Amino acid sequence: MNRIRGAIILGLLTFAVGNSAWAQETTGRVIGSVTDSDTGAPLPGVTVIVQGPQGEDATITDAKGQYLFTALAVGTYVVRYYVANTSTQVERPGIIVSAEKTVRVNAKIASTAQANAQQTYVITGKAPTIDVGSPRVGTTFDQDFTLNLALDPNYGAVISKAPGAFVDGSGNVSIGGATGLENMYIVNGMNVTGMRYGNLEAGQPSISGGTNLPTEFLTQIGVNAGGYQAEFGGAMGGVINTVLKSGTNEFHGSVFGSWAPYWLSASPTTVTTLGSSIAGVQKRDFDDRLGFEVGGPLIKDKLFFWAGMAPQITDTHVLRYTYALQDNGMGMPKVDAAGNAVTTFLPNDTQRANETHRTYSYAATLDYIPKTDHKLELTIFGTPSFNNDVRGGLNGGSPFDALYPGPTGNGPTTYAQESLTRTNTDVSAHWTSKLFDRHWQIDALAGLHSEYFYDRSPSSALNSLNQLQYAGGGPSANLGTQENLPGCNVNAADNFAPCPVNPFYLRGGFGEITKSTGNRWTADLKSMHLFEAGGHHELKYGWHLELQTLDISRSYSGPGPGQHALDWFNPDGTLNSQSFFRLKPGQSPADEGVLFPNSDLVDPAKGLYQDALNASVKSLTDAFFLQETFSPQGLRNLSVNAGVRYEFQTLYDMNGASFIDTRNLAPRVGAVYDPFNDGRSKISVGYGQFYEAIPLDMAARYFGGENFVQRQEIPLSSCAPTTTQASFVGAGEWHNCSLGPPDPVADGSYSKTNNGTGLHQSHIEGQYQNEVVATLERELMEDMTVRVDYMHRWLGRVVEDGYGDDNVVDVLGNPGNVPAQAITDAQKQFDTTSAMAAANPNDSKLAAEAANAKILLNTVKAFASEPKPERTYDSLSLTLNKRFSRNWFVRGAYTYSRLVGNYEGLYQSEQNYVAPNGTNAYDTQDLVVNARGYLPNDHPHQGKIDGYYSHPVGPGKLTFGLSFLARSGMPRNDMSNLIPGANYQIVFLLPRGSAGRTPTTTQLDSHISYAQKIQKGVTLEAFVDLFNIFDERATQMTDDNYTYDAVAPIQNGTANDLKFAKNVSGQPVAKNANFGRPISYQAPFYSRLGLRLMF
Amino acid sequence: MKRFPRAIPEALLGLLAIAGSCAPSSNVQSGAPVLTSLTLSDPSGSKVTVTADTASCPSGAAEGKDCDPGTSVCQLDNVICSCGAKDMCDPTIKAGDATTSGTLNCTFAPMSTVVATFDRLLYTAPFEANTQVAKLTATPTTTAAAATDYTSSGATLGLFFPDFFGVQKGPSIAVTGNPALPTGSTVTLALDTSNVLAKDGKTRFTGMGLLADGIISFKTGAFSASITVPAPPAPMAPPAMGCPDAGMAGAAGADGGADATEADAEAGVEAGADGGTEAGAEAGADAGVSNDGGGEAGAEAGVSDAGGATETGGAADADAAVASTDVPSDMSTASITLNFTNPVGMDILGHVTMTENGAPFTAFGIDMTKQSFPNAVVTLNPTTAWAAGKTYSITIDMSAADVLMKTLGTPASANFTMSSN
Repeated sequence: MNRIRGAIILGLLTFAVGNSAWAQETTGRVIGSVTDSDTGAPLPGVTVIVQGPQGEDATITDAKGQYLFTALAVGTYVVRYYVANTSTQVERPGIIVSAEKTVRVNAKIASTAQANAQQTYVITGKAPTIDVGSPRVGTTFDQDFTLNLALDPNYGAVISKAPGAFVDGSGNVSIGGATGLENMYIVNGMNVTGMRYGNLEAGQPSISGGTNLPTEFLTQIGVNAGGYQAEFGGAMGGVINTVLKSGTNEFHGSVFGSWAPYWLSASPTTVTTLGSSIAGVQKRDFDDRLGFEVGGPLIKDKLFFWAGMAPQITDTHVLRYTYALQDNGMGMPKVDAAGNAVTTFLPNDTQRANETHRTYSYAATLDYIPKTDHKLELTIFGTPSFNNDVRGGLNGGSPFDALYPGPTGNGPTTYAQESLTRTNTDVSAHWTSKLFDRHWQIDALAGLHSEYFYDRSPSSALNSLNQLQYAGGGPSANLGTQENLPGCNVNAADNFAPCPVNPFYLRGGFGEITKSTGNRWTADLKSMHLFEAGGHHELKYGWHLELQTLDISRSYSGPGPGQHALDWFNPDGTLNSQSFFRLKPGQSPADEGVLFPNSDLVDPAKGLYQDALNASVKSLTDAFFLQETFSPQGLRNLSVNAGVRYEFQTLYDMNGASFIDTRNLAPRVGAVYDPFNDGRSKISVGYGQFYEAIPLDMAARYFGGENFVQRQEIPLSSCAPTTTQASFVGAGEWHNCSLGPPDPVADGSYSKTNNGTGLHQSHIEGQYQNEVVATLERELMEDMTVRVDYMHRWLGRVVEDGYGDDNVVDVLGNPGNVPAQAITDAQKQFDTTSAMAAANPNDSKLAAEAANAKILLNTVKAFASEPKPERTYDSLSLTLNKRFSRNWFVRGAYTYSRLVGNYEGLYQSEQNYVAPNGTNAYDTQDLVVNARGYLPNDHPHQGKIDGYYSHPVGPGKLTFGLSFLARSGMPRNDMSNLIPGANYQIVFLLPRGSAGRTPTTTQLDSHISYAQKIQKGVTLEAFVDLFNIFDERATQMTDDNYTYDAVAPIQNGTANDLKFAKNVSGQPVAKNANFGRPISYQAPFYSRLGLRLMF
Repeated sequence: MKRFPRAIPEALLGLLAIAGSCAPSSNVQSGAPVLTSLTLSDPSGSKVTVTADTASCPSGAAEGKDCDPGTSVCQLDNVICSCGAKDMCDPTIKAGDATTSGTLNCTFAPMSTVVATFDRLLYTAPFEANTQVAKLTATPTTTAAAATDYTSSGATLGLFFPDFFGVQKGPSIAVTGNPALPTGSTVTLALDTSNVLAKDGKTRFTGMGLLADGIISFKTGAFSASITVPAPPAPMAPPAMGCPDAGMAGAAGADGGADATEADAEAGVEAGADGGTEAGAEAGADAGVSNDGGGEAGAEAGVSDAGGATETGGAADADAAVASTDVPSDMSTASITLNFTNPVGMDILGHVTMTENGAPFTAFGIDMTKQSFPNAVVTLNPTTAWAAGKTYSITIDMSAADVLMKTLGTPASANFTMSSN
């Protein structure tokens, strides 16, 4: 706590003295030199003025004829040069200033011009656009890009247009080999990244996420893929720096709307599963948007406003199709020549459930410039979102299960839905001042990012019932049995179930209900000094603070206190019932069933059982950075960057105790050389270490007391008066069940998952990667640049959980990189506690401590013996960028990359598992075998071309935009089960990537618009966006489960070795009939129509 | 147009070449496969593992004598022995003297399997061709051959698979007898060095110490039989607490508190110590296993086999033939199970006779839809039902033989009485 208090005091003090400043840069720079065009001599004392969207700024060239403008708002500028003692004016229009970028605008002024009074010379050549200020690798998308190409409406989708970027299984954009959960998202300097998962509000529909705003609100979307300097941190993927629109001296705005009806869309491909009678597909009803944004001056040159709102209303529906298997007369399914089950489609059994999505995005900014060199910006934005989705299956990528028919088996379609409220709210204030003749610039930012999330059933009835799961494949999970669907009833003669559901059928209540509120308080102070000493120096230093709190409540639906559980029926007809529990202080997982009976875990009277897991956890991050950029005297076209970032992150568990306290020292060095000193070329290299900002999910789960207990194999005969599966309705019947003879100690009838024990390795060190980038960029011709980027990233260390002891208790640590001190500490702790326990045999608290110490020691040793985490990314990108001129724009990129290793990152694609720092990667040593290979985000070849052409037609302008994408498929694996009868398909039976690759995906999109001025300053545009014009349906993911048997890995094996694999019972492996079959396809053709009124 | 220095584009091309060369190699490690262990596994799941560190037994060691369980496996007179821990209540254990806390056993169940585990995958062509990659020799000589089964799954690292499911820590070859191992013999199983090869199909496997040649020798117990007949459910026994009175320890069923391995090892010791009591020893082993190593193994010996267990073995096993009490009428169709220490053929039925109240009884048989042969467990069912109030006796005659034609030498019998209600 002392650090929190200290940090806040420091922040307040810094504010008090006016030194506060903000995080990510939302402004750009212009540098240049003014020389005599005849002699080449520098011209000192030339007055240089930039004029842009929010007025003018001025400076004077120094003795070397150099000038510099910093903190320029994003936009298009004119630079004017006034030669001393004359009225000569030279001006250069069309200077594009982007956030975080430095463009060089040199001017050569002829002697005659200097002597000739009252002349204005306009430099008509296009100004350079190459960023000569840093070795950063990245792409910037401006409004022209988002308006003239077919794009999804939020910036999260635009990011994937960057070279080498793509949307991975998490629904977020993978950058530089990282998973989609490893980016940082910045809006106007504020970190808006999802607090729990590190994601953006995109993709995974049932979780909270960062703020994802409409592109109409943004003036620029910057994708920093690598090479960022010490002032930036907290990301191992990319830093997405977006800038909201702001008011200017003129009123501007737009009203926009689009309409995407179902009849302008193709039907998606239905995923079918052999052996199951259910298939589902989500179809679009409509997707409508209507919004506005407007900005202008409140006081000219002083006070500007901008505001926007963009409601989006999307309705979809899910169809569940039913197929009946055919009886072969012996109670088994009839199969075809290929051995696949023969099915009959039952059109009358198709069911439909509706989905609604309502998002009301809004944003507003207020810019105040009290006087030159001082600026205050206030920002507020948010994305209140209210959805009713069909739960499970479709969007999650898992096999489509039942439609939650409710307690009776045939409920209303609302029973199929989950009600999701996701409301993000962000507010910030940003102050910038330039002092001491602009040699000192300070920035201060303070803000709050807030996430509210609530996931439950829209039906209160389902929230008050236990969820019932029926084991798939048999008569109990048969649609005839459960829903009495025609054509699906069990054949009484041979007990054949024609409509089995796999892997299970759901009925009864909603299941897990989650509610969370998160707040991230941010403060940034940044100071920049410009001075000359043997060259030009730019010294920056600053401090960044984030205090994050997350209050989360997880519960199972159920009828009342003490009655909350998940119930599922085993194939043998017995019942498993799962509920939450928490151990009391002084109890160890090793005590369960030893020092107290397992039945205590499910008995509300004992104080261990929990109806709801409520946890409040938090994280405090401090980061200090110091960086210097130096351009030597006489070699001003060379910039050398060196810096260091020192980050602290402390995570606190539900009891307020810290369990991670990292000290991360991240060096950064780089150099940028403009070989011709004209801003039209660049050679740069950079190296840096980048540490992860650990999201709060792991704290909320593993350090928020997440423990489950299952009463297993309960005979229904003991559940009187409810003794049959059919008579269960989820009204807490489980609580009446008896486990039979009283044998509470060492009773195998209970299975526990001890995640939330709070055990962790000492000296946990931060997760990081190293990076080398190199860039070669050259303006080939006016308006066109070609760029080659090389990136090499390799993982240094991870923070992950795992088991290393037969008690199967979760421990957090640095698997593969355990510090020696951690082993020493664990050994010492074990020696001490076991000696004390031995000396006091009747002290159960000491016994528990000793038991925990043993678990910790065994697990830390296991971590130490495991392979080091590896994720190595190499890429080479060739980018051609033709900025808009002569009516056309094009950006094309080809990226060749390889991603190899044993660790995916914060997202695990095999089980679609969003679990930052808590994935299955190191859960047990069984899983590290064969884990090395091409990682899921390895797409070796990626090509992207985006371009548009505008041409006057009639009274208006016709624009035709095209986007083409081609991307290699993803590696496929051969997976098996870890535990017989369970669904832990996480064992790499063969080395990762052994099962080939999904097909290449290609897609062509188009945007066609016609814009016409309807009066002065007002333009009306109509447009149509066409996505996936050729309606391609490439397989995106396949069923990689080679078998559902529990089978140990075939270490370094090949397909030939599969023939000799045995399951844990010693029997030959049963191959999954669906292995290799598609489980998701490319989104089909769809289109939308729109109107935009711009003024 | 101005040009970049020549070296820069070439450097970038070099980086591209580096990027392209980072393909992951997941090939099997080259070189000779190393035999890491030979595990002797009996049907109960008990395992004795020979590793490169396994040494000769200490001087003076002899089967049935005391030993130190800390050195659990050793070689004695070229055969593998294991030192099983005695029951903690065994009065022969001397405090502070570890060498008295175990008993050396060198005789193993005839239906044991030897599993050879390697550190890397093997050349599969011989297995695809169904080549038997091991040889079996025995003293006395036998007609049995070796049968091998290769398993590719299993890895050097693991927690769940090796610890919870008993999967070997590497690819393995299971070797057993075809049709069975000979009973009452000294058996030697030797891996075929010309067919157990590295993935390259050429390099022969290696090993250290006793594993150098891939050979293991061990003794097998005698061929014997026991019979499980219907019995009334036994009352629930209280959990074993502390050590029983002296004199109760040492019985096969008194392994309270020991885990399955210990129970089985002890059973084996008894079998080796008294050649005439193998059946009883087997019964003890079964009890230990069927109770999942629980704390009540001994106490529940009579309950653990479904339907009750009134067992008899050879002539010396009379103590195991607990006097029958009346069997409830709802068990009138309960099965009788014949348990052999080695598989038998279908002709076994010709060696089984029954009487009903002393008169010959033939209304029983084998349900062939559920029974396969050869098999060491044979289930007999009444053609209709066991009659109320009648006493049945069942006998396996002394000439009953296993698949290698080894005969029992001693008949086995059991009886039970159906309740008259």
